[in-house]
Amino acid sequence: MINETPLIWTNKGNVPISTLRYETSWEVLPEYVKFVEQYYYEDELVKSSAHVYNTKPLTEIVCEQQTF
Amino acid sequence: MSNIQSLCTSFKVDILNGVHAFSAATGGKVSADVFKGALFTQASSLGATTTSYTGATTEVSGAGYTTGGNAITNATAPTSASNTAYWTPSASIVWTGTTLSTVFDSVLIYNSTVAGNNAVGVFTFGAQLVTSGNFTLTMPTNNSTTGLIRLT
Repeated sequence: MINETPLIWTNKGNVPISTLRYETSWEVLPEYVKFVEQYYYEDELVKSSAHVYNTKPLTEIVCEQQTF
Repeated sequence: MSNIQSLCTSFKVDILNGVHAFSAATGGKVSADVFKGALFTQASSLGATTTSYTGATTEVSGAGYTTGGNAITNATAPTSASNTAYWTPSASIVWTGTTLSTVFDSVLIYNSTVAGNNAVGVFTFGAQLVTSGNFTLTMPTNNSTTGLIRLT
């Protein structure tokens, strides 16, 4: 019989994903907003992702025209 | 060592020399150049003086990451409004199923079509690690006030 419970690999062996602890954090600065999500099994970080939203243009060029 | 968000000074010179084609049929080219985003560790010194992508040892490495970074989706040609020209990648730059175990904090956008891999700019986003997960750089709205690159 096929076990359809989704598993994830950890240092303590494969465990059901549903047993992981899910934590999120935000970093909000004028330059960017960052959302970090982490999955823990006990104290082991099993999976982490980060998503950055750039809220500030890379930079600007001021084009000036010199007069004679 | 640190990375500083900035448009590369050499890119400004490249603009005057017509080096980059952000859209098709510009600068005498029949197609747009390919631009890439490469991630770099905090041990790098990227900034305005960066002139190109050189495959430095301080580029990140790990599962799910290809040296040189990811190609940038570029389906929207540069345009202008209110005396400001602007360009923004048309999709997020995403690394999926990746593990990056050395702290990184910046992406170098560069032109991988030209022989010199000429740099465009450096974007920083704070120290980050990724473990068997995804890293996403979501682009701002492409307009004259928030576009990624704006010439005012």
